[in-house]
Amino acid sequence: MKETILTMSGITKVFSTEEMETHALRGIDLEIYKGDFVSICGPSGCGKSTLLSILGLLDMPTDGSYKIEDLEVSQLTLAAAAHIRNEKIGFIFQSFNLIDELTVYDNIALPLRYRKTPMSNADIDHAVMSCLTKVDMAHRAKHRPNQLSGGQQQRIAIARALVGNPALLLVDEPTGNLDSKNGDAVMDMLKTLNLEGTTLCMVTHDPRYADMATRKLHLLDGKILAPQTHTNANAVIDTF
Amino acid sequence: MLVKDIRACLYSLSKVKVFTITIISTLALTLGTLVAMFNLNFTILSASLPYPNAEQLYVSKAVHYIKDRVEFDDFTPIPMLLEIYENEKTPESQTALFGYSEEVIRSKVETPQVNTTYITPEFMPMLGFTFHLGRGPSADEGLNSMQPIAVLSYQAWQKYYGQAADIVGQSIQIDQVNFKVIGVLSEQNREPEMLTPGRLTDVWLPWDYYSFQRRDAQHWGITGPNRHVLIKKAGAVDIPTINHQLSTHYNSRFKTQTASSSFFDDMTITLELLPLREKIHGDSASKTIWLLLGALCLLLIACANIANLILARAVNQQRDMAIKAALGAGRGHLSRGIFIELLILTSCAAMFSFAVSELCYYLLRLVAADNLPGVLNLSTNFITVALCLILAVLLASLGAWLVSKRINFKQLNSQLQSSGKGTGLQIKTETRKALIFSQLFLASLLLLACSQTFINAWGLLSQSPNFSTSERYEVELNQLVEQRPAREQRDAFYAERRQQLLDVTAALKQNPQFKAVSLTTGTPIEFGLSTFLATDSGFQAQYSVSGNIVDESYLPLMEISLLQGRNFTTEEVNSQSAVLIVNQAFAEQLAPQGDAIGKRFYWLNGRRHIQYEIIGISENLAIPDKPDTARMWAVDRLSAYTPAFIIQTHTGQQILPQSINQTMAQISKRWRVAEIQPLSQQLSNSLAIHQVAGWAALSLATITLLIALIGIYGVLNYGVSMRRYELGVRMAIGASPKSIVLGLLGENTKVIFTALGCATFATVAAMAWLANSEVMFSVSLLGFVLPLSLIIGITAATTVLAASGVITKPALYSLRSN
Repeated sequence: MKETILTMSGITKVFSTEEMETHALRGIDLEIYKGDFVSICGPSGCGKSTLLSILGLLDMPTDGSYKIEDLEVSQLTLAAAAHIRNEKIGFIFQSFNLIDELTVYDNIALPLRYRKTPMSNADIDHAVMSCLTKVDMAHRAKHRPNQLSGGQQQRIAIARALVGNPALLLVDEPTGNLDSKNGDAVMDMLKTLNLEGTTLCMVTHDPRYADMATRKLHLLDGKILAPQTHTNANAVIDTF
Repeated sequence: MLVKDIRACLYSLSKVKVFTITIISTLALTLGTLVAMFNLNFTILSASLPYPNAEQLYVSKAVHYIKDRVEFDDFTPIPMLLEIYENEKTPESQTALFGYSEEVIRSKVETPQVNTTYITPEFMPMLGFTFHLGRGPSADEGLNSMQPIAVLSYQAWQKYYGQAADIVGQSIQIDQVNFKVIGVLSEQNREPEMLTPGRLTDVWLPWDYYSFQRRDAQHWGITGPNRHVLIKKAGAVDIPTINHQLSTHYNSRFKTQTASSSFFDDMTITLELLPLREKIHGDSASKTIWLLLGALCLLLIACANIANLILARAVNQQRDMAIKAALGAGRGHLSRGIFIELLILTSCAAMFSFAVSELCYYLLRLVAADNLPGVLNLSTNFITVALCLILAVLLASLGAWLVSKRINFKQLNSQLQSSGKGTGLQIKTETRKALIFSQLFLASLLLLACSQTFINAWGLLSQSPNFSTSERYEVELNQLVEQRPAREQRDAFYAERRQQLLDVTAALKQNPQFKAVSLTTGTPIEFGLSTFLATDSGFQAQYSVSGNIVDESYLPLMEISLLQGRNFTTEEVNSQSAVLIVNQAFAEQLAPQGDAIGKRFYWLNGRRHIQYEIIGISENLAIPDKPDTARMWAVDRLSAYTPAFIIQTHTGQQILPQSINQTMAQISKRWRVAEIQPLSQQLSNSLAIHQVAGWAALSLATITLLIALIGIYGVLNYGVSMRRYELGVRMAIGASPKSIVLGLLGENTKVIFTALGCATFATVAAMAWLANSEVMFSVSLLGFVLPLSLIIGITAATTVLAASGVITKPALYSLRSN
C-alpha cells in the first residue's frame, strides 16, 4: 500500500477585496503518495500557483482540510507553518529566488540554519556539499548567484530545496526562466530525483514536462477537471 | 491637467493615511520649531527695532578698571552722566537721561512695588512713544525744573488704576512726593528692554526725583548701575573714534575729580556708546543660536525620516510607475506626480507648523521671558510665513529630486516583463546601512546632548543650596529718601534709623505667626554689598567680596552651617562690633594655610580706621554658577543700606504687607513694605536659566525621541520594503517570524553600535571642549546610559514593527512583489 504524504479535502481559497471576491480554488480533493511525481497544468488564472502555495504552506486555505503525514496543517500559526515548511517541504521557484548577498554555499545552507534544532557546522557542511555534488555545482560553492547562468542558478535552487531532505518537493514552473537546453537539463535532474524516491509536485505550462510526471492534474476555474491519471512514469525527454 | 494630478494625488494619499499623517506631523513639528527659533534669532539679530531711526540710537556705557581688571561693568557716576547729557547735546545729536529703579506707591493701601524709570523729557520723543491719555513731559519739565509729574504705562494704568478715564490730573505718592499724572502711554508702545528681558516700566518719573541724582550728583567716586544717557546721532558717525575720544575725556575728568582719594589711584574709566540693539540684546544671540541649531538638527533628522518614508513609498509604487513608464511617461512625468504629492504634504505641514510656532512662542514666554529679550513680542509674521512656504516648496522639490534620481527605468521595465514574479528591486546593503547609521547617529547625538543638558540642569535645580528656603520670606523695605545729614549729625542720624529697625524687628518677633525674624541687607541668594577687605588701611592688598549685613538671628534662621568659629552674639549686634563671618571659599583666599579665624582686615564699607576680626567660617553656598564665590557677613553699618527682613513663618501662615506696615508705622513713617518674596521663589528665579535649559532640553529630547522613533521605523521599514521579496524567500524555505526579526536585528547590530559609538564619541569630545571653556557642565553616566538604552530599545521595537508587515502574513504575500 502506498504511503500518503499529504491529503487535501474540500480545499477552497477566496481572495476578497472591498469590491469583490475571487474564488481561486473551489473544493480541491487531492492525495499525494510517497514517490509520486505530480504535475499540475491548466490555463492562466486557473489556480495552479494558489494550489501550490497552499500545498507549500505559503498561504492558508479559506476552508477545507489539509494534512501532511496525518498532521492537520490548514490552520497552523505562521511560526508552526514555517517549521513544517522547513522540515518537510522543499521549494523550487521559477525565478530561482536565490539571495544575491549570500554565496552559493550559504544559500544552500540557509534552510538548515533555520532549523528549530540547531545543526552543527560539520553536519551543515556535509549536507550542503553532498547536495552541491548531486547537482554538480560543488566547484561553484564560493560564487555568488549573480555570477552564475540561469541553469546553474536553478541547479543551486534545487540543491537548496533538497538540502533539508524534505518529504515533498514543490516546483513552480522550474523551466520558465530557462532556455530549452537548460530547461531540459533541470527537468532531467528532477526526474532523476523522483526515480531516486523524492516526491515531487510541479506546476507547469509545458505539456512535454507535464507528461514526465506520474500523475497529471488539470485545473480549470479552481477545480481539478480530470481524474488523477497516472502517466508513463518512465517517460524521458527526447533530447536525452 | 494640474487639477487632475492634484486630485489623483489626494486620492492616492487618502489610501495611505499613516504615511500621510506621519509626514505631515513630523514636518509640522520640526518646521514649526525651526521657524519659531528663526524668528527669535531674527528678532535679536536683524529685525528692525520699532523706534524712529533706531539705528541712530546709542546708550552710554562706562566701565571701571583697576589696572586691566574690570571692576565695575556698566556703572556710571551721576555727575559723569550729567556731563554727557549736556556735552553731547548738539544740533546733530539729542540726549536723554534715564535711570531704572523700583518704588512703592504709598498712596495705595497695598503699597505695591512698581518698576520706575526716571527720565528727562527728551526720552519719550526719541523712542517715538505715543499716548493713550494725556501727554509726556514737556521741555519746561526738564532737568532741574523739579516738576513732580508722572506718566503711567498702559499696563500699570490697567493694573493699578482700573483704566480710570480720569487718571490724568490725579496724584500718586512715591516716597514723600505727590506726582501728578500727566499721561498714560498707548498700548502699542514697545519699551526697549534695556535692564533685563521682560522688565517693563510701570511709572515714568522726572530725572530730578531719581534718588541717586538727589544724593550723588556731585560724587564722582560713587558709582552705580542701571543709569545711562540715550543718545541719538544723526548722519554718518565714526563710533570707534567717538568712543576713544569719550573715554579719554571722561577718564581724565574722573581722575581729576577723584584725585583726593588714594582708593582711586589705580582705577581708570572708559566710556563707549553702545548701539541700542546691542544694549537690548547683549549676547543673547550666543544662546539663541544654539536653539536655532538644535531646531535645524531636528529638521535634518526629520528630512532623513521623510526621505526614507517617501523612498519606501516609491518602492511600493514601483509597479504603477513601471506601467506609466511603459505607456511613455518620462522621468519628468513621474517626477511631476511625485512633486505634486510632496507639495501637498509639505504645504499641509506648513499650515500646521504655524500652530507649532505659536506653541513655541507661548512656551518661550512662559519659561524664558526673563532671560531672552524680545520673547514677549514674538508672533507669526510675514517673514515667518514666507520662510515656511519657501521651505515647504524646497523640501517638496528635494524629495521629488531624490525619488526621481532613484527611479531606474531598466528595472521598471524588468518589473513588468517578469509579471511581478521575482525581480523585487534590491537596494544595496551599504546604502541601507548608511541610512540607518545617519538616522541613529543624528538622533543619538541630539538625545545625548539633551540628556546631558537636562540631567545637568536637573542636578543643579535639585541640589541643596546649603541653606533653607522653606517658609522663609524676604520682606524688602522702601524707605523715604532723605537728605544726607551733615557730617557731624550723621552718626546720630544712622543711630536713630538703626534703633528704629531694631525696634521693628523686636515688634515683628512678637507676631505669633512668625517663627523667626532677622534684620539684614539681603538674602543668601542676592548679596547686595560688593566690597573689599584689605590687610592695609590704604587698601593696596585688597580682596573682593560680596556681603550682607545681618543680625545674630540670620545664620540660624537660614540654617547656614558654621564650619569653624562661632555666630554673632546679640551684644556684638547691638554694639556694632568689628567682627566678620566669611564663607569657606573666602577664608581659603584670605588664609590659604587654613588659619583665617582670628585674622583681622580693614573693610572698605566699614569703619576704615579699625580692623575687623573673622570669628566664623561658614559652609559655601551652593548657588549654581557661583558655588565658590567669596562671601562675608558683618553686623556693622546696617543702617547705611536699604534694609530687609527675613521672616520664617509657622507652617501655613501668610505674610501680609498691611500687617507689617502697621507694625512699622507705630515706630516710624520712614519704612514701608516694598515687596514680599518667598525665598524659594527667589532661589527659583536665580536658577531660571537652568530651568530654561532643562525644559528646552527635555522638550527637544521628547521631540527628538518622537522623530527618532518615526525615523528609525522609516529607515527599517524602507529596508524591509526593499527586501520584502527576499524575506519572503527566506520564509518560504522555513524561516520563522522570530528568525526573520532576529536576522534583521543581527544584520543591523554592527551599524547600530557604530552609530551609537560615534555619537557617544562626539558628545564626549563636545564635553571635553566645554570643560575647557567657562561653561560649568558636569558629565553624567546616566546621561549616556539612558538615551543609548532608549535608542537600542526603539531600534528593537521598530525592527519588530517594520518586520510585522512581512512576518504576520503568510509567506506568499511577501513573494508577490505587487
